Amino acid sequence: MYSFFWRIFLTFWLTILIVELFTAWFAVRLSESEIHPILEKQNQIFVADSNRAVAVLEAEGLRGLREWLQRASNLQAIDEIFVVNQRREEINHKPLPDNITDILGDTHADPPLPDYKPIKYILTSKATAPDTEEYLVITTFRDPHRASYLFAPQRVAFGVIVSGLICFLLARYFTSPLNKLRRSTQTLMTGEFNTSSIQNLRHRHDEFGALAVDFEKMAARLSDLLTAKRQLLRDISHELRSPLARIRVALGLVRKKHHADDSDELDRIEREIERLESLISELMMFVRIRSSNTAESMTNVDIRELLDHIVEDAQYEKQQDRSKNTIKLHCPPGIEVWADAHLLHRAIENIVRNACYYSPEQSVIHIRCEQGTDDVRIVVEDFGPGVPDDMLEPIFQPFVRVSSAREEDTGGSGIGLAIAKQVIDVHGGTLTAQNKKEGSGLIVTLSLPVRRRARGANSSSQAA
Amino acid sequence: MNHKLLLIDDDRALCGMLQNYLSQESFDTDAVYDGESAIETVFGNAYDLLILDIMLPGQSGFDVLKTVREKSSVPVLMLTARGEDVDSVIGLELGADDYLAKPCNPRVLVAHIRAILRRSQPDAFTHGADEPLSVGDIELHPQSRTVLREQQPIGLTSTEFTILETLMRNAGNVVNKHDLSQIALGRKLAHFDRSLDVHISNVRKKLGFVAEEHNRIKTVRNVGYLFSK
Repeated sequence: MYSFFWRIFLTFWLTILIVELFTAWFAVRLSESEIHPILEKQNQIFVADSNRAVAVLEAEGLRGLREWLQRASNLQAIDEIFVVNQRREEINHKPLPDNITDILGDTHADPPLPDYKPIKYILTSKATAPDTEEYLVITTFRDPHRASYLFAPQRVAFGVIVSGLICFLLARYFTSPLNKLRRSTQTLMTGEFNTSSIQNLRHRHDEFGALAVDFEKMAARLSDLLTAKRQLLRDISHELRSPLARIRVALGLVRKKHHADDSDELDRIEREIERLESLISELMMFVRIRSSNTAESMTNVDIRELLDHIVEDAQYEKQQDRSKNTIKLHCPPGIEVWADAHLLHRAIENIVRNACYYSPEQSVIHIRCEQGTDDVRIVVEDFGPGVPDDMLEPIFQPFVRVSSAREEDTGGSGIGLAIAKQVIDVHGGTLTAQNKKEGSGLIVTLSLPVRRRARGANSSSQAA
Repeated sequence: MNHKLLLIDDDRALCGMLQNYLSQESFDTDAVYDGESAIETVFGNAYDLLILDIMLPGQSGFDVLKTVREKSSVPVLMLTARGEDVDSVIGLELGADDYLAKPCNPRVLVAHIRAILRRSQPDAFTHGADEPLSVGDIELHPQSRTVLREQQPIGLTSTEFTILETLMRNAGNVVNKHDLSQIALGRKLAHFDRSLDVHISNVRKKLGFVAEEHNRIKTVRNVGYLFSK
């Protein structure tokens, strides 16, 4: 999720670092001609200082030289000074660099000439101290060269850190409005039309500000459309009820008039009316779940108790049925979730019904419940035909059927699973379906988040 | 003698057909189509039962119920939109005797009407035990279907009366809520059906509030209710 951020950050940073490097390199190249007189002067000072060091040693001995060296102004052009006695020992026991040891191999070697290249050069002079001891004074030239100055580790580190910081802030500046927009989109996806997270963004007078304004308009429009859709659904359902109520009474009257209490056709009409009615009330329910305020009706629900009821009911219905399925419940006692008991009952019931409906005769439906660390999972497993993989998600949409053949059956309303999905969404859980890996069958997994125990431990007590 | 019913519903065509249907079930049914005339008609006539639709133009069914209950304990069967559980709870709290989801099967409607009427008839349900019951400061007269607390009459609806009577007859024992539902509401208690709870809470309120531990009607969780001696 940070990839865009990192890409901007790294690109900028790398670019700046490369630019820094080249600038430094060019600076060194360009300034070499200018540095020439400086070097010249430095060299004169170096030679003079080296000679003075030798003079001091010859006049005042080692102690005098040490005192002379204390004064830093004498070492402006001298980087290091080595004083070696005849036994080739450095008098201050300073370790001798390799290039100096090389020189000592041949004491008569001429000192190398300064060539103004960024290398250190060395001056060697013989000196006889007042106590007639002979010494070799070796001085190395302090190179005022820019390159070493520019590429000093602390300078490099400073450049890297400062440019890194700037790039980091820059990348954040670019990506933070994007992240805000993204968060808004995510809340939008959950069906909440709350654009408060891009409130500040709106006041920006740039492209991001314009985007935020557009986004808000889009959210408002979506919200309107969805509300209108719900309202329409609700109105239609409502308006359908009046004629249905009349049909029902009219049917009752027909039965009375013709003394037709056992007419197959009239029974059929009655059954179809009932189906229409249940379809309408399911639709109403579907529309209402989202708009209803579930917060009030939330209690601690004992899953075992709930599942027992559902299985009991389903078994009872199965008795009237010929399919003779059995439902096996595996649920440890004492698992509780914070939920609207009525809605949750409805959701799980719909899933179980669906499983029963598509199960072959005399098969088993397993309902398992397990407590995870942060969720409670209820798994309903059947031995039915399963659904094609591309239908695993759409089956939770209203009126989506896997195959048209099933539509003929007098089965569910077609929105049972959609209601279940809606309910679980409202509870902040997830509902997913998958096919069995071995054999046929569908596994529907319902996961509900575990809330930390809400206040009111005996919230399950009935208000009677 | 035929029972007199009043049908309050704004769907005139439906009312006409229902009147026809109910007359064949030997009920005399009047129909009114809005809340205002409903209240007028109820107070101007003696009805055995009101069938009240919640969705009415102008004054809603709830308003009508509230006004009626101020003066009368005539049995009320409420028609609610199917699936609107909240409506049914509010209706019961306001003193309706029972509710039925609309659109309903007329046969089921008739069954509900008969169940409510049966409960509200003094002679039909008392099993000949007409002697007044008395527990604590509550006195119940099955014959006249009246309840007195410290000699002051308390107005209960017929369903509330039946619940109280059943509990008082079994005072000191737990009455199973399924049995109570069967007796008082004439139907099996479904999961999440809060009708009985609402009726019980109405009865408690009318009997006068006392602290929970001294409540006359105690809830026995997952089992039923107990009228303490």
